[in-house]
Amino acid sequence: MRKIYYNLAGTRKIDARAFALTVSVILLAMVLFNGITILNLASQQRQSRNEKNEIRFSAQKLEELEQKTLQYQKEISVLKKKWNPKLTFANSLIERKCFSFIFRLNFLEKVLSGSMRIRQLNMVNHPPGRIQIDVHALAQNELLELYKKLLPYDLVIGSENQTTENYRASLSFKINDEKK
Amino acid sequence: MMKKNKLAVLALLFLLCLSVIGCLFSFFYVQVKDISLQKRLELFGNFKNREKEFQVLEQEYNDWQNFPDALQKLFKDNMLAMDEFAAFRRDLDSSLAANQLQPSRIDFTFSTGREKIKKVNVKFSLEGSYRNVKKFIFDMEIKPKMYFIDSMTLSAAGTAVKGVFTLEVYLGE
Repeated sequence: MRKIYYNLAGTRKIDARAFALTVSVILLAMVLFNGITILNLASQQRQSRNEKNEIRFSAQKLEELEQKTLQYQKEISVLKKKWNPKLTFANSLIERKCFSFIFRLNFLEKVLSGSMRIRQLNMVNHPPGRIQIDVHALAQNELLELYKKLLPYDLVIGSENQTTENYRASLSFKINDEKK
Repeated sequence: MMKKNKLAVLALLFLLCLSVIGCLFSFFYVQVKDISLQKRLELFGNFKNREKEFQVLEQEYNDWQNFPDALQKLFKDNMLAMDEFAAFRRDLDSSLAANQLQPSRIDFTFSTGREKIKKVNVKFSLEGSYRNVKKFIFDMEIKPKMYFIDSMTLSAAGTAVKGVFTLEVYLGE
């Protein structure tokens, strides 16, 4: 004999399986989202803890650096005050020892043409010092050629004279040492 | 019963929404933290720069600390000692003689310089071929000790060259 069941409840009968499935899906999704959240925050927490340690370490080191920098700067300024004149003196001696008259003579030999003659030459071992020459040439264009060659060397033409024999010029110029 | 279940599902959905919002917030939070991390890394980069600057300063400090010894060594190695002055005079004479130059007189003027260093001005005139005068200048320039030509005036004298030289010689202790 077949039994007949009547639902006497006010609402429809619940489909237990569908309900359970829905609830489990929701719960699973919640677990998933919460898991992701927890993982995110935990890794962030770990990272920020490491960072804090690193920053604390760096800050300590930075402070040490600042202190040492100040100390060194003070000591350097004291040492500079004491030793700078001697350093300047030593440097000036080295500079003057390196000054080459030969280099300047070679330069003059190179820029002068065959028929030109230097009658007088004056050189001082002092970098800003000028080389002074009295030069004789048979033709004026030779002198002009020389002027052109010396123009890049701050040439100053003191005087130029013309005689029946030749052309004479008094010049000065400045040339830097090749070793510099 | 149905109503209660519906409420339960709604409640669960609400909680799910909260979880989703929480999850999204955690991503946002991580992003914000990343940005601040970048800034901190920049600060760290500055720290590295400071460290480099400090190393340069430290080098300068060490150089200054070593400077007195270096200076003393420079003077000791390159300056003539008082008792070497006679040797310098012999050396000058031999350089002149080697280039067939014979000054009629050589004047020495002593003056006190800085720090126990004496400066001697040596002045002489000579006459010879341009080649020999130039060779003499070259010989003087290659000497390792701290003396050098201070000034020179060369003038033509027929086929020869007349020269007036001033040398500076520094004598240490």
